[in-house]
Amino acid sequence: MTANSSLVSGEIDSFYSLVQGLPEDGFCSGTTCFIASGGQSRGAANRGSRKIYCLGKCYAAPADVIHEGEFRIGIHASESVVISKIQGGPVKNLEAYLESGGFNGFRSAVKLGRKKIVDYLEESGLRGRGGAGFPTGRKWRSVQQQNSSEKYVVMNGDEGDPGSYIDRVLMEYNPYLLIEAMEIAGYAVGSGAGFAYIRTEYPHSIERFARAIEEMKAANLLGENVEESKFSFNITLKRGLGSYVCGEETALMRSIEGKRPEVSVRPPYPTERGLFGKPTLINNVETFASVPWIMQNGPQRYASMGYAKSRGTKLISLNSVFRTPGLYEVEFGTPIRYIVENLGGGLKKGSVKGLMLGGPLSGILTPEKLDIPLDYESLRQNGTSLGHGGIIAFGDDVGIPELMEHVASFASDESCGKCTPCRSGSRYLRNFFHDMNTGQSPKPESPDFFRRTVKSLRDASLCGLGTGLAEFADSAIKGYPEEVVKWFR
Amino acid sequence: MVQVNIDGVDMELPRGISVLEAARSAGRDIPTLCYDPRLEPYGGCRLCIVKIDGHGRPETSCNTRVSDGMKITTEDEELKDMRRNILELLLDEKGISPDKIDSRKEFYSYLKRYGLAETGVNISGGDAAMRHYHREDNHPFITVDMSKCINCYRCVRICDEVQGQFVWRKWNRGSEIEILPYNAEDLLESNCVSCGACADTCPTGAIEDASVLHLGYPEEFTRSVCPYCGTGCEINIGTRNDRIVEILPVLDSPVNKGHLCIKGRYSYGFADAEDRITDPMIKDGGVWRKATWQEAYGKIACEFRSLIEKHGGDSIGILGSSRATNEENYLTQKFARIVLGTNNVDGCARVCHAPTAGGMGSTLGTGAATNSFNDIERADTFLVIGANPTENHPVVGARIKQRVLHGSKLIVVDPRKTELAKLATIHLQILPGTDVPLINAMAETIIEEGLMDQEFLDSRVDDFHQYREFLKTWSAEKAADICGVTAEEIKEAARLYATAKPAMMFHGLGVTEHIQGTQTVMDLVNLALITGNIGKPGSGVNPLRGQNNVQGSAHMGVEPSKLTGYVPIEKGRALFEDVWGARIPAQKGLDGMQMIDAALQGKLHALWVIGWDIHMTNPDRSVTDMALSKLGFIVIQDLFMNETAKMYGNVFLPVVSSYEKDGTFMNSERRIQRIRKAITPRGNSKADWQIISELAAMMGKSEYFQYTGPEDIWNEIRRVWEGGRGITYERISHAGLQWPCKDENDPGTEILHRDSFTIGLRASLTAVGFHPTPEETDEDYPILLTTGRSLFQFNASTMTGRSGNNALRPSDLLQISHQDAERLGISDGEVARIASRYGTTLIRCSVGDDVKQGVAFATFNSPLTQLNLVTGPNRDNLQNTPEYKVTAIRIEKIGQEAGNSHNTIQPLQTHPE
Ligand SMILES: Cc1cc2nc3c(=O)[nH]c(=O)nc-3n(C[C@H](O)[C@H](O)[C@H](O)COP(=O)(O)O)c2cc1C
Ligand code: SF4
Ligand code: SF4
Ligand code: SF4
Ligand code: FES
Repeated sequence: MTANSSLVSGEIDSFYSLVQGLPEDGFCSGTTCFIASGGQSRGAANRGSRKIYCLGKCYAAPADVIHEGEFRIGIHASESVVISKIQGGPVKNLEAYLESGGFNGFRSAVKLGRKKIVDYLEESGLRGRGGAGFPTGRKWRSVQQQNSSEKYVVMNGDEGDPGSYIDRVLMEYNPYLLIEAMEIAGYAVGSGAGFAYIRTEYPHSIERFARAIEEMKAANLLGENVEESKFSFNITLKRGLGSYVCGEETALMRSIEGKRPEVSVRPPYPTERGLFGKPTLINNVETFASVPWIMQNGPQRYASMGYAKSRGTKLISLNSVFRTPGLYEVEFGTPIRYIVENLGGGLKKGSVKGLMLGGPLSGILTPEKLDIPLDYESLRQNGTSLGHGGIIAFGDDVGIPELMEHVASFASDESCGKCTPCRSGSRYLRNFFHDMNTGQSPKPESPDFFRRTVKSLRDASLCGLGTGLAEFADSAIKGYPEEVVKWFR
Repeated sequence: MVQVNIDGVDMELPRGISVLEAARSAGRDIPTLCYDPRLEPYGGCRLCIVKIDGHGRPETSCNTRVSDGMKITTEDEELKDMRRNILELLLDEKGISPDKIDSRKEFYSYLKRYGLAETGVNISGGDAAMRHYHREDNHPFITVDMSKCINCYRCVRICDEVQGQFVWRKWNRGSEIEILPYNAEDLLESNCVSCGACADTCPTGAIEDASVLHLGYPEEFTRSVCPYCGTGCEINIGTRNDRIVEILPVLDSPVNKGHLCIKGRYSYGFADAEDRITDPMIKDGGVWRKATWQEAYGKIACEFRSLIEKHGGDSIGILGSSRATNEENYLTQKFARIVLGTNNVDGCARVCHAPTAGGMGSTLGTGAATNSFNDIERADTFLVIGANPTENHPVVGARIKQRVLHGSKLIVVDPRKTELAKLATIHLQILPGTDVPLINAMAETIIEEGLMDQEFLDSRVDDFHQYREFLKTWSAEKAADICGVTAEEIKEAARLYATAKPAMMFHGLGVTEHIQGTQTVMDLVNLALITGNIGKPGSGVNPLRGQNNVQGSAHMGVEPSKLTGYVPIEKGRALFEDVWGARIPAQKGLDGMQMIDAALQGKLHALWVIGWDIHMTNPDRSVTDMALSKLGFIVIQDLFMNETAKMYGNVFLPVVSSYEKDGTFMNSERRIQRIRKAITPRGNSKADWQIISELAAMMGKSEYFQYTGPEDIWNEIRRVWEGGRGITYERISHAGLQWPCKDENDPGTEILHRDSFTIGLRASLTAVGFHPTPEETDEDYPILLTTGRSLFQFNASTMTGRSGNNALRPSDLLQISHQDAERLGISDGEVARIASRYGTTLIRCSVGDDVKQGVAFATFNSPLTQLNLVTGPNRDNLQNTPEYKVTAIRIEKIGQEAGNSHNTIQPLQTHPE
């Protein structure tokens, strides 16, 4: 961490795709839009890292920058934790938020005191919603215990996984809730400075979030001495600049620092040495969104919902090929089939050929596995992962070889380039699929090389981008052998 | 300690080391590509993966620390296969064919180990055809061919993390990453300081030393010490067919920790320069002719003998060399004292740090750095005064810079915005020659605000009350007026130095080369004493010595009033006379400046100058020249027919460079390190110690100079110098030892004055009044000129000018302010005349904001500039060191058309009138 950002810049910009902002005539090249186009690549056929991957409008795919489209918001849980206030649409303004009982989470938290806040989170069983499912209470505890006069709280609003628009809706419809949650975090871990990192692909989220910060500051619900509590907290909003890997926590912090957003090795973990080298609490948007409710309603009520080690509720977003695409809050343990058939209403056309759960960079769930429950561990055991909770279904019109080329291109375009398996391996996989799809005959050593590269990706990549590509490739080959067998003879 | 099992073998290892280090210490050679011990572990290449029981997937060993009970498998078939795949992916990425990689490169060795060296890969052929890779072949020392690059980013990281130059940057992301110099077409145009670290670390040869491509890779390496500055970096001299083809840094050196600068790394070409003289020469009838050693010795012996008979030994003087070894300097003074019978022996410390030795010697008892370079990493604050380490002691500069980039505080006192000044917490841009008021005002602020270290004052310091009384006349406001900075800046600096502790001080020639140089050093000691910033880790008063062995030269007794160990003659007489079996003359000797005076007065008749071009380097050229022309006999001992030799020499004795001999050097932190012969002496040249011994024999004193070699001489030094007694050649075969080191079990001394000062338990504060320089500006001479070196050249360019460095910085430059340039109508790159009360010369101007209005700065490296035509006759009032740092001048426009002041310009062609 020696690069002094004041001495270097410019080359940092070249890392990103959207430094100039979102082009008005831009359209989405993300996975749901690829699927909605029947498995056709969207956009220029030539490769390049300058595509827009996911505008968070997967309910209205194929999507573009201008059009918004519509989606449902529904609840399938004994209680709604995060979306009850937005079921009828965005929270209009701070006043409306406060009228509906907003900010009481913070007030309850201050009454609980720092230690109890974390106890509550631990007892609730809340796990990180950014993908890894790490116990949130444990993370808060370890930042709380760091002995440092400077600490940071970071909200990861980079939601890069195509197919997921959960965080987008939360940030756009109810930024107040997230700010309140970040303040609870700041209060609990002893930090006065928060950063909200929101991707450029979500212009409305950025706009609403920025406005909410101003409103809350003006109402003394943010800033110096919040509600005479002697607690001060400020939030800086950072715009992502177009890079999937910036959702990875270490890359995200480098991005905030103005450095090249490469993934760093861990340890040290952000909890010890994060943003600007200081102890940092970084959580996903949805993780934060659950916190105020837990503060108000107690951990038991939260923990009483759920399944096995996955407690509480989870937001799920469904893509455009469903009859009723939308955002649903469901209790853990709900069978996937229920989500697909009852909430999503099945597909508009034909039947489900496969489900991509944790975004493109995780395993495909084949139709015969739809009865497994929504649960971190059960999904793991079935070769996939929950990821953000965006569910992308695809039907028979999408060919596996084309899907594989799409996903490998995505990974290759978005690889930070630090580690060999991901940088060179994703490039190789993309070339391999491209050659196959354009009818070129494989070199005799190719199948073997392919398998060995996937293994290196899985076992030797530094971060989830590389391992995710391997998980995807493995599951595609295992799940649809007949479509790929010709390449591996 | 932790218990770890590596490949079935149980072992105990220190906590905190990485699995990679652990495995390598156990003899398991885990392959790595992005790892370099000089850098933070990066975990990028993934080649170093190992299996650890209980971990779900392999871990990269470079960034995983060992923990108790760990069971590690460093290689099995699965890991082997993955490693092979990673190497294949690297080859495939750019379509690298293994035969393009030199077989000595790390990358190639792994290709070989994993069976890919012959076959390579033939998968996608990479995207090589689609891309145009960056190449450079216009730099004198470094070539670039990025088609061999495997994206380990070591070049980028070493430039950031070690050199701190931020030149190589990564552009784009993923497989589109390209590594290019920042903001420039190539290295030449970039910020690059040619330290060569990137070329050294690159595992494929994508960045490579140009020399090995032209001359072949080294067949042998010899560990030695750099011949340039007083940092004393350890080098590995790579040779092939008795020629130096590459010099690399020594990784485990405590001084340079695997780093070098352009001088140590690349500026060795002078050893085989075409104009090097390798035969003795005698000037007959104004013309030089080759001679044999016997002839040359005969001539010198005869002249010296007859002068001694006629006028006595004191009619001869010897100027010893800072480039010569300790052993050779020891012999130089021994020769003067017992062969010639005179104490007229001095070295070039006179023109640089004699004030440091004097000032620190008299206040603390030891006239040398109190602390070590390793304290840089322990200091919280640096006070850098009158020194420009990033250019003149670049490896020290790089280490300070890294600390500052990581948050240490930095106060820079300098009339110029040096590189460190630009990074500084506080830069006090004072007028040249106003250090004393500044330091006094800082001390006053510290005491006035009660920021001194009372406990230290009570237990270790005398004369506080007198000093305190004296300081009352030195308010920050008063100093501010004299120094040209604000009182608040002075106070801020004082507070920082006194409170953000430990604070470490570095000073250079900007402090010493003044009429009050010695007293300024004493004043710096005051500052350290009142704050307790001395005798502790990360603190101290630390001179940055100019030449590699300038510390050693004076310490060996090349000093008119001191014997080896910097012992006053009368104090050491008994012991020395006993060991030598000869008498030491009683008359006071002359120092180098006094020798010039004596020559002018006709009292000195002969001079023997070893490795020094005094015509070029002494100030006030016209007076020096008059003195030299009055001398009847001048012997020059050097590598080159230098300017002094050309004009005034009678006999020339060709010496070897330090690459061609054995011996020891002493660096700025009192460390004695070994140099070793890497190439054979060129032609008939000889080492100084041989020449001195042989000449002594010729003069009938062979019994005092019977040595089998440098080690034998060293062992005699140990008999006369108590502080070096424990240092044997064997003990310093690696890394050297710092004196005092009294016996063979003494680990040496990193930090002086810990529990008491050399001078005693307590040291005294010294009131230092201000005596302004007589060099005042007036209407005729309105600008104050100060001088210094540049990174790319060393002193008179004798060595660097012959090593290819001219391509990087061909000529001297005069930095002037925008305001002065505008007033004079001079534009950037224009050649102008500068005139002082003593002489004039021509120089190219560089207009910028590095100096304030009314101040100018010139480098003095180029023989064509002859800057010492301009510098004046003032000297330090205690040590006679010339005041190079302040001369009142005027700048005159002469109407030569403007070029470009940066590194693409041609050298100056014009000679001064
Ligand atoms: C390639 C990659 C991309 C990621 N993208 C996101 C993201 O867009 N949003 C997010 O919240 N977490 C993302 N993560 C996970 C974060 O690194 C981190 O685990 C998370 O922000 C922690 O918050 P949580 O504990 O609340 O889940 C990503 C991880 C990887 C490896
Ligand atoms: S797997 Fe490696 S190259 Fe890919 S994004 Fe992660 S760290 Fe970067
Ligand atoms: S030579 Fe030194 S300064 Fe120049 S690019 Fe390489 S590492 Fe950086
Ligand atoms: S040029 Fe050399 S050191 Fe730099 S990234 Fe490429 S292979 Fe590594
Ligand atoms: S040496 Fe460990 S990842 Fe490169």
